[in-house]
Amino acid sequence: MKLWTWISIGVLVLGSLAVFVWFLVDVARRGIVPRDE
Amino acid sequence: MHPIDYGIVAVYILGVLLLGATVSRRITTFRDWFVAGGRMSTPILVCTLVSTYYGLDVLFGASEVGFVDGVVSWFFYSRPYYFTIVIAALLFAARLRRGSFLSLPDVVARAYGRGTQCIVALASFVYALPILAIMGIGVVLDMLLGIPFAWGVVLGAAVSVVYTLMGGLLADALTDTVQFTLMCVALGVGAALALNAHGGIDALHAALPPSYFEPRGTYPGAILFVFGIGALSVLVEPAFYQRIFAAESYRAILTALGVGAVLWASFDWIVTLLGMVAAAAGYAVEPRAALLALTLDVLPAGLKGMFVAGVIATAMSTIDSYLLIAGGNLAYDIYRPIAGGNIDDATLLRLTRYAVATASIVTVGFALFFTSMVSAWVFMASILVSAALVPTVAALFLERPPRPLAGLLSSSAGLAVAALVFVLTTSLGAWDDEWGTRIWTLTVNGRTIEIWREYAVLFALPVSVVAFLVGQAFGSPRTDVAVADVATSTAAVEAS
Repeated sequence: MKLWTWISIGVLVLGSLAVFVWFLVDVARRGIVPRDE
Repeated sequence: MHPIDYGIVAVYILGVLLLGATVSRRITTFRDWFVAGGRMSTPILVCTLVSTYYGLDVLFGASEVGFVDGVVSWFFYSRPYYFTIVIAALLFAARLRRGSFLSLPDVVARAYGRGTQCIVALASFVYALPILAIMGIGVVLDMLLGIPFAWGVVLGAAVSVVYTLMGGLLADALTDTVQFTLMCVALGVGAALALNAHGGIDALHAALPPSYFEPRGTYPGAILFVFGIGALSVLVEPAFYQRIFAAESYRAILTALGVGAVLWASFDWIVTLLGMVAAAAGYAVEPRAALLALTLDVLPAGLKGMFVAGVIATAMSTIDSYLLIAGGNLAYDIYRPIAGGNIDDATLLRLTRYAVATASIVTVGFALFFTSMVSAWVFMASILVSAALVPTVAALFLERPPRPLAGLLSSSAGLAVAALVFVLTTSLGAWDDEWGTRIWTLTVNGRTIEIWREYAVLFALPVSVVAFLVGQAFGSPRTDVAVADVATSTAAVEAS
């Protein structure tokens, strides 16, 4: 239970920040609405 | 709260309004506005799926069950949803994308015609009205900022509606990226600090009874089964459907649902645990307020503002998305077919914006009218599953086209039975304080039978299946004129 709790906290904090960074990088590369590649 | 905290909340609200105004300049067609032109990327999909589906009902509801009953909240209230999300991703998403639809009622319209479309649209509209989220934002603004409940409800709805009207699904999804990050980080940091302040997991074991750590808790088996059945709502969830249609590719939606399921599972576990920490620490508050009270106690200035913004974000990301769907149900799925399907794109866009504003007024009215909305989510989910699940699954998976009468009978019988069970249990049942629901007790042949309000879907689903089979047996095969009519008007909207 202890392990799952800390994994969950890690997933929430680091996972959400990683997705947000992924979003920013994707917008920088392809724009807000992706262009055809 | 410290002035810094108020500042953070104000910056967040101004930020989402500014984003709506910026995005509105990109909107030229109904498809741009309603499904972001079908060009939504994977990271945006992850953020919008996670934050939309998790509103204050999950934040307060799951923590409430954790506070009162322990880990059963995660195992039986939340876990069934991850299985149905995997089924939705693997079996439903590809078929839905092949059909080039714009909404859930579109799917049944293509298979059964306009009667079934209107019934499913009505069920979807009832389901989508974000009554709980708007009430939740009223309670939060009242508790934290001292804004009277009624003003909080109106303020929360107004901010959400303004940027949704301006930028449609894209504005909604872009604000969801910020809302998603805020709610996840705030909850994760809050959980770490709360565990640290109250002695960690070991202190929970010492303070709480063993039943708190039993996966089944103290619930009767039938209710655990109903919790599981409730997860079927994912398979006809209008917000999921809208995002599946908005994704730039099938791969994007598959990845987004996979990443989302991991985040949802973590979110649910932490929310459950915070409820348990509050119970172990002896918080004497309403179970629903336990998470908020505990987290605000342990967070320092600055993080407190971020958490409050995260809680408001949790509500607003749900309100905007579902208002968009409710508005779409009124204008695109109900009015457009009644008007003969020949509405030009600009008119449809304008009408749907009016419909979103109308849906928000209806929602605010309900939120101010009802003082207690316990079990409201069960009611709304039951209505949707009962009316839409059987015809939708049949439309997507039957090899031969189903008959229009089957869709019509199945959706109307499911809807009618679900509504009837709610009316009967509400009028003839007695309120049960222990379980927080209405129970209708009958005696048949000396045996006592208890019918809980939550059982509506258990009666409605089998009736919906039987009605479908009757319609298949006695209905005429569909005339392709009516079906082609629906397909043409949908294609016209897509093409524009």
